[in-house]
Amino acid sequence: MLAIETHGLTRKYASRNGRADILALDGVSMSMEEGEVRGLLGPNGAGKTTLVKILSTVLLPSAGWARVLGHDVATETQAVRPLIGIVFGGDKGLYTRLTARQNLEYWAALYQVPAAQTRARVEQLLARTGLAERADHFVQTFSRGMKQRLHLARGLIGDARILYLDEPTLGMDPMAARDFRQIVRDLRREGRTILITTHDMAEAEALCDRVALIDHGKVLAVETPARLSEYVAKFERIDFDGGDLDLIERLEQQPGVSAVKKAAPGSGHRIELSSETAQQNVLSLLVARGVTSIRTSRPSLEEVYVHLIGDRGLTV
Amino acid sequence: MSTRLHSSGWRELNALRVFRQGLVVGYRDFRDFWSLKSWLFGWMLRISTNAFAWVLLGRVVGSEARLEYLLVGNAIATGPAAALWASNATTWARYDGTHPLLVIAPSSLIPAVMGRTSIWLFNGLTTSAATFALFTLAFDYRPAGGGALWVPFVVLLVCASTYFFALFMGALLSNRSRWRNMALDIAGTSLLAFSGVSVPVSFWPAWVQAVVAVLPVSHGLHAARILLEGGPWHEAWRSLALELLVGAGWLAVGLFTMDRLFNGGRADGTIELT
Repeated sequence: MLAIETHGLTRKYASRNGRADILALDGVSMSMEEGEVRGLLGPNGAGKTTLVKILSTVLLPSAGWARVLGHDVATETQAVRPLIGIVFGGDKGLYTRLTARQNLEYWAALYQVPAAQTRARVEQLLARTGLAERADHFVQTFSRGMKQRLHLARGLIGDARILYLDEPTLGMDPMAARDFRQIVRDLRREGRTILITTHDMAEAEALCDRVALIDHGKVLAVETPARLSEYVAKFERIDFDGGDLDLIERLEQQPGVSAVKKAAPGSGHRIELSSETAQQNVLSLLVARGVTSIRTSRPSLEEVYVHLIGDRGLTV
Repeated sequence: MSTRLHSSGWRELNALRVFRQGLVVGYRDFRDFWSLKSWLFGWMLRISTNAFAWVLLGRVVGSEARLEYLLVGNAIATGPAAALWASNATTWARYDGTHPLLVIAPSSLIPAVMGRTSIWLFNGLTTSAATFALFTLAFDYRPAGGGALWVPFVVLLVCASTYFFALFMGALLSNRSRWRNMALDIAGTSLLAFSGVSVPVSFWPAWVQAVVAVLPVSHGLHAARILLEGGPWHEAWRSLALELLVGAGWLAVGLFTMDRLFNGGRADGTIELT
């Protein structure tokens, strides 16, 4: 059975000032296998959160349908809700005046965990997320990373088979983000299905089996991180130190070279390629002209993202 | 999941459990506002001073009967005034960012909201009881009627019906929470002005009396006065029954509105994830 399946999923928001309706999702069709970790990448306003809202039964679609483990999210909400957990980034979604334990006990009741099992479930989640020693401290005293781990524990209180992580490491320091990602990897090993919305390319590469690039409410591509990188192999870069003006001119005339740029004063040059076949010729020329400090670099998902979505990029 | 049971009895028990958990959140909300010291010397001082002013005014300008009228009205009215705060508390889940999580939880969010907000009902009961005790001592008030023992029950009824009205207000305000303080002030002032606290309901035009009749407080207050003055029991019971009816009506309207508006956000997209 598919964990998540959507077909022609569309969501329009009525404009409040007489303008045209806003099309947040435009006929999205996608599917996710159980146990998959899928990234949703896209700029702000791309439709990522709208998709998560519909899949988590917070929002109704305007057209199309979505199923979670075979249940329609619009008409079978009571069947869908026990199967899912949602984890936000940021400070919202926790009762900061309660302790970590009280927060989890609260949500255990709402997720209908039997009272007799609640204590053990809460202890287990506190231990798993590394919060056991702070279990009885008020959440308002927690660091950003601790709050995020508590968010995750809350998302798991009902033993969700599908987790939606919405910008889960937003604002976390690198160490806390690394620890959080390790917990996500452990969850994946347990066979849970995880859908992550993120701006963080490194996070998507580190965690996801496949990544969906989304913009203007449409899914542009769904690929493995490695496959997406291949998309821009022709945009691969070669950095080198040294070289004179004549070499630069020769490089610029090579087929498949789109630009040769000076990265920064005294820091060498960067050659941007526009053809997969150009690399060998360029490297041969550099070596022939006595350049010995040469570096090629693997395109990151960020570059794929920018090339596919354009300059709207990450700052939108 | 094997750990979930779905019999109706179990669901009711779980709703009680959710209510209790909500009450824990409400208690922490309350403690964030008041410590024992600040409740006594901030809240109670403000509330009782305000009520004292009215009662003293009655002593200055009127008879003993007018003093008693103002004393009973203002002592009891402090309870509904405090219980009305539940309308504000109903909107707080939006600020916590827990509202969408409550909407998508397998259990109904209503017991959680009622648990969290009911702390203000208890605050109303305590406030009214404390004010009544204070006034009784300060003015050496001796109720004439043997029905005085029933007055705590009347106070409970008046506070509860106001609390149910506050739930309705809170549900209406859940998407317009920036108006919550203004709405609380208008509702509180109107209830105290028109419901027979300091001025008899019969003083107001007929249309105002008609509106007041479907709002909490006035019927219960009337019943309390009859019981304290030793008036006819059947008239007191009739007013109590009306207050009960009004309270039950607002509970039904409040629950319906909460259910429709909280879940209606799924259609209009007003439920934000963060």
